[in-house]
Parts: sequence; structure tokens; C-alpha cells
Amino acid sequence: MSGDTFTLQRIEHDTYSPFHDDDSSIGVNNDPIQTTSDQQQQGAASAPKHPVALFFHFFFKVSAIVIYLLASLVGLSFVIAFIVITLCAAFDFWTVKNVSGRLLVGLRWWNEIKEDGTDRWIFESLENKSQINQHESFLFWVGVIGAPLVWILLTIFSIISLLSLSFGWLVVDVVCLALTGVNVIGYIKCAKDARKKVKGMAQSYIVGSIVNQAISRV
Amino acid sequence: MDQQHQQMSMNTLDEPVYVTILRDIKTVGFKLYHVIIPRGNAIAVLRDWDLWGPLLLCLLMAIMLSTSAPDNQKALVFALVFVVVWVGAGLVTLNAQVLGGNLSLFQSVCVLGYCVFPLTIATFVIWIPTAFFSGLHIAIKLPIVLICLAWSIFASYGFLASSVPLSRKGLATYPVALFYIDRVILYSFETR
Repeated sequence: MSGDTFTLQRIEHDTYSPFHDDDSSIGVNNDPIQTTSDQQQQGAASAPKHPVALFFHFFFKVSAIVIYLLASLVGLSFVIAFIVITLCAAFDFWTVKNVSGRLLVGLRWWNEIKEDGTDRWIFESLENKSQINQHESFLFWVGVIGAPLVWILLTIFSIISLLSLSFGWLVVDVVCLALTGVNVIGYIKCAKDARKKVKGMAQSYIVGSIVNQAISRV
Repeated sequence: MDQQHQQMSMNTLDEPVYVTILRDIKTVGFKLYHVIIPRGNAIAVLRDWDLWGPLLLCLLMAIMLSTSAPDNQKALVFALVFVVVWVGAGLVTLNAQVLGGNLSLFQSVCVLGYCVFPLTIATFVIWIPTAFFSGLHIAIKLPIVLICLAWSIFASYGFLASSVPLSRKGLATYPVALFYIDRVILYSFETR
């Protein structure tokens, strides 16, 4: 029975996401009943498990913003800066949507178009949340939410300075804002969906264990 | 619960990264192939849309056009090509939707973006001699561009016509033609 409550805790123990901030991890850490595999995972939790994914999660974002800010200082021509920034933003979009999301937080979103032209969101989420590293998960959300915030700021600056600067930079801002914004929307929807699934699983588990107990007593 | 099960069965969370990359490269190649040789299964192409092709083609075109523009207008030409491609695609989509087409914004932008491919080839063919020797005469440029224009419109008609009611196909295709013709004007009459 104690083993059962432990797994229940495991299911309810969610990873970091911006939509809840309960410290359920402490309860799991102090749990006296721990299997060896869990201890190994806990030991690995401090070191990043996906350093490459983490690197690329930030590399393209940061380089796009740095090139944007430094282009006029260094004297890079607008056309080259535009190409490099747009490609960085596109690669970042691809990396976040297809690689870093599923490795760092175990989430992935798809937007499929049905035959009548309306779209349908498809969300995948890892069932076993213990595979996910808390630090990685935190850094993932910092990147995903931080990048569009920076681009919103830069867009506002370019709108204000539209009179003195060419409107080309505003185009860059809008492209980058759109690409990072789509990922934020996709992952927030995906994280909400994952929470719903976890709740559903926990509920069906409780019902299942009650039924099991009833059967064993009969 | 049934629906949830269906979604869970689609599991790509553990795939290696090269599988992810290969899948995307394959879909881009598949679509370019279908634009060059238009054929029946437009619906399969439309279902998994992507914006890689439109982005790369748009960048290529903007680079080629801006290199042959006067120095003080390079940045403007480049940014304008970008805006014209994306905003234009958005407007054409809006038109198709008003006419009762059942196409989403991204699908339509995807199709229009990929169907620029013949015109990108035309730009390239014209750009090479212009960049290294001298500008081509308009009498040589115009036929090249017009053939590729017809090709582009033909390819995009095949995609878009499958999603718009029969009686309105002309109305849906007309702005598409305009969408490509503005580029033809850019290529043909741009002088060094």
C-alpha cells in the first residue's frame, strides 16, 4: 500500500511550469521509500542531462538579439544583418519546437490542419515526469517566455524611432516576434494540456486503486 | 478518453534528433518536387504545411534583387521584398477565405511561398549574367520571366483550386496572379 501512495505522489509530482509553483519536489526528496533508479535520477538531477539541447535552446535566441543590437555599432550592412537574424530566428523556432521542448520538458506541440480547413492542436507529453530535470525545465521556460518579451521591447523601440531609422528593422522585429510568439502559445497550451492529462491519470488511478481494494476485500 | 488514447499513440518525444531533421528536409523536398511537376495529390502536400520553403525562397529572391539595386536602396528593396511576399500571401489567403475556401492561413502561405520556386529560378537565371557581365536585354528577360510566371500560377492553381468552390475559382486565382505579377515587374524592369 505504501508503494502505491508513492507512485501516486510520483504522478502528481509535476515539473516546473509557469502555471503552478507548489513545492511538491521536497516531499519526494524526503520520502524514505526510494528505489535505486530514483536515487540515480536524483543524483543526475543536479547536472544537466541534455547540455547540447540546452546550449542550442539559447544559442540562436541570444545570437539573434546580440546581432540585432550590435549590427549598427559594428557597421554590418542591413541586408546581411537581416539575413543572419532571420535565419537565427527560424533555426531557433525549429530547435525549440522540435528538439529542446521534448528533451528539456518532455512536451511537444503540433498544429495539424483538418480537411475542412480548421486547425487542430495536438499535444504530446511525457507520462513519467521524473525523467525531467528541474533546472533544465526552468531554463527552458525562461528562454521560451523571455525571447518574445525581449522582441516586444525591441519592437516598441523601433516603432518609437521609426522616424529616424529605416523601417527595415521593424520588419526584423516583427519576424522574430512572430516566430518566438508562436512557440510561447504552443508550449503554454501544451503545458496546460499535460497538466490536465496528469490530473486525469491521477484520478483514474485513485478510482482504480479503490476498485482494486474493494475487489481484494471481497 | 478515446481521443486521449489516440493522441498518446502518436509518440515522437523520444526520437533521435536526426530523425526530426530528416523528416523536415524530406517534406521540403517533397513540396518543391510537386511544385516543379504539378500532379494530383495536392491534399497530401497541403496537410503537412511548413514555412521553411517560403522563407528560404523569399530570402534568396530578396538577396538577388537587393544586390542589383543601387547602393542607397539595397536595404529598402530587401525589406520590401520580404513585406510584399508575406503580406501579399496573407491578403490572397483572406480573399480565398472570403470566397468560401477551406484553407487555413498557414497552408495558403505555404502553397504560395512554395509556388514562387519557378520565379526564383527565373530570377537566378537573369541574376547570374547581370551580376557578372552586364544586364540582359528586356527582350530576353521577358520571355524567361513570363514562362516561369505561367508555371508559378499553374502550380498554385492546382493547389488552391482544390479548396475553393468551383464557380469561384477564377476569382480566387486572379489575385494569386497579381501576387506573382508584381514580382515579374520587379525582375523585368529592374535595371542596373
